Amino acid sequence: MKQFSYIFLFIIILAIACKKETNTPQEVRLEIPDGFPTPEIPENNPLTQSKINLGKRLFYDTALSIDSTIACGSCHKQEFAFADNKSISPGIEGKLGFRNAPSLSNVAFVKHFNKDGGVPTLDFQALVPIEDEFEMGMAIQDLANRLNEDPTYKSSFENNFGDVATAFTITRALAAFQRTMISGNSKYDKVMRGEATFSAQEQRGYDLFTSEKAKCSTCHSGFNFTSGEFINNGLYLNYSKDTGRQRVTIDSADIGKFRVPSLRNVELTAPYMHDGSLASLEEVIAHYISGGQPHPNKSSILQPIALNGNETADLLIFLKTLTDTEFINNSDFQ
Amino acid sequence: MTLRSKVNVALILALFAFAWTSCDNDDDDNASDGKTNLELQLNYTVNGEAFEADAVYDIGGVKTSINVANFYISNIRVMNEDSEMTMFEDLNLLATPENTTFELGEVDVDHYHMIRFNVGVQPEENSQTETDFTSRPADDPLAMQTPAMHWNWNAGYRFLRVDGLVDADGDGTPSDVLEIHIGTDNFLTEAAVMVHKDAEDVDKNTIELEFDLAKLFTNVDLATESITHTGDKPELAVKIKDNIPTTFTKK
Repeated sequence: MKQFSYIFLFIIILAIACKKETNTPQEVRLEIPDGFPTPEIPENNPLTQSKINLGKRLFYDTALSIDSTIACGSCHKQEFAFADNKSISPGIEGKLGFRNAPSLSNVAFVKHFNKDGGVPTLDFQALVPIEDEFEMGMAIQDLANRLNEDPTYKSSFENNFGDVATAFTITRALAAFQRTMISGNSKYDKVMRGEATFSAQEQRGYDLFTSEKAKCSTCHSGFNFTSGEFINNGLYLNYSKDTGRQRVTIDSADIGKFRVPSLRNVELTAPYMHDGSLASLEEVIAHYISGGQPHPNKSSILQPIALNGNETADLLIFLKTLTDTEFINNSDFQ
Repeated sequence: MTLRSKVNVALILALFAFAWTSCDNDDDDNASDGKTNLELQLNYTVNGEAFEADAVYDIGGVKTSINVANFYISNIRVMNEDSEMTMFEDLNLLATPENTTFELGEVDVDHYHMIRFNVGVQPEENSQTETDFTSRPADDPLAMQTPAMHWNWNAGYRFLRVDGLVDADGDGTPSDVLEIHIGTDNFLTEAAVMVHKDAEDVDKNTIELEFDLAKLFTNVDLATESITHTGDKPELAVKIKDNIPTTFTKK
């Protein structure tokens, strides 16, 4: 019996000694601002610092486009809260798509991706810009081959995923980096945390924003100032250039519906609307005051609003309290 | 170890071997119970002629060439003369002009009365919420393909993809884009073909179907409507969907 014990002990020691050394990077815990929920991190894509770094490298690398001219960061610029200041950002060869680049701030909390909600998860959303002929125009398999030719990329993918660059690992690394883009330190947030106070005008704007009169917070609700719903806001009578949610559902009742965007950092993300057709916040407010075009799918919430000039100015001042300067200067994203 | 111990060990091993073999699955006995392997064979044609990629055909009076004609088949069911179904629920087949023969599995049927299937991918797999196309192994038909059968902007699959050129200006040379991409759950389409074939006493029976690409475009004027990605031109997509069941006939 004693002999068996020695043999058993020997096997255990041997097993430990022969165990391949694996580098198991520690998972990163996101710093979640007060009042924000905890974002869901998929089991098959845990956050690690090394993976976030790989995602950041990819995000700013023009090698992701077929002619190596366009990176994710070409259209999602930190100074504009990872949106762009163009109505339609040019892709490869100056090609223009038909939608305005959205802000990526707090994308970790978004439930449906793209303005029509066609993609169910951030984890492979990056396929859209990478493969779109008007953006990067790169077949993901070709991109994987290109990245694997670079030994530094190849080893980084292997270290993070135990696999080389593939459609799966490229999109997951990009998602990991984007999940860290959390913006929750604006003046509004500081006021809510009791660290600052609104000016009188900001307070009037906030009261108006949440009032029954303006109804802004009906759609722009919650910690991220969006209900996440798909709404026709009466921008046009005819949506033939972009039918919005209808492209996904093939339901005519969804023509002209687009996902309600977050208003965080809205001061920085001009121009506005799904096609970037409104140049300024003043124009946006004027649109909502008018009640919009009488499209049959227009939300019943959209009705003419009687706001005077002072109230419009108050609303504008409040919206600017949603700007998070720490976010747009955070070196972690550079 | 004493002799007695050795005998005990031998006895235990013998008992273990006996128990192991006595619990053997009886499946082997089924080799002669009437089950045979069934395969599906598709024959691509255009107007009844064998299909050839990039060859120019007359489809509804419009000179047309096709270089991609791929589609998914799922939810395959084979019905016998008593209307009993044998289902192949987990199969997702990707038919291409180069990939036309598919092993379906074992069937215990004396007479193949009808085969039914969906052109497209079932909603639970099309949604990409459990497993998406980037996560699947390369040999899975639902993994990313070249040419692409996935959609990125509307996560899901192109159920049917036909690419090529049409002669829109009537100069006799196809030079305008033909791009028929049908997808989304609403466009999952049922096809049913009467087979009327007795099972033969062989290792493998084959159901052979003709897939006529020209029939996809019945009531479609390819000179004026040759592009749909479903959501952008739903009217054309609906016409194609409605034609899908007519494209399959018994060979």
